[in-house]
Amino acid sequence: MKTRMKEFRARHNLTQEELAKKVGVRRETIVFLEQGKYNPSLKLAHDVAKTLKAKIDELFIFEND
Amino acid sequence: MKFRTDKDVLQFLGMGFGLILFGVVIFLYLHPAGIGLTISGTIITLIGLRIATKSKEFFMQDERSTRINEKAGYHAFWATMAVISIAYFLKVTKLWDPTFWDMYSITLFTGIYGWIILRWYFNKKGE
Repeated sequence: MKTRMKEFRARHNLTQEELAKKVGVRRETIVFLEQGKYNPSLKLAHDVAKTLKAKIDELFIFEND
Repeated sequence: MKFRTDKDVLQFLGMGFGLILFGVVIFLYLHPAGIGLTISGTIITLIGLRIATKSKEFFMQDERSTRINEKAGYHAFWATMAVISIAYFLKVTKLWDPTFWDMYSITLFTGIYGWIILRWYFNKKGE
């Protein structure tokens, strides 16, 4: 899975800590999300997309095997 | 250094002090094993003081940390079952005759340390 979270986060001038607080998770979770090392739940993906004013499929890109 | 004094921290510290007091009473009037309780209480109190210096968000349980805990717990459970099965096999084949305390220690340490190590592993590994 690839993400464009960092790009969208930069557009809104948010730090990882600030995004984590807005979404209600730990900063560590945002780090792992941005690195594509964690698959978020639908709720978390929705909350992140809503906060970053983007669509879920714009933020999270699943590559075919 | 700022110390939090919310309910969670105070409960934790209260538990630590209570254990120290209880351990001292046991040690003085009943059994030398009370010293173990006193040491445990001291460790819990020190952990409580460390927790008090961190923000609430530092210890927040979000979906990722919950998932890691559950995954580690699941694997630690099966590791413990495997260890018990091996010990049972050794007992049945008379290769080893474990006492109750042998089995108690093996089960406890496999479960607890297995869980702690697996938590660290799944945290590093990601998904």
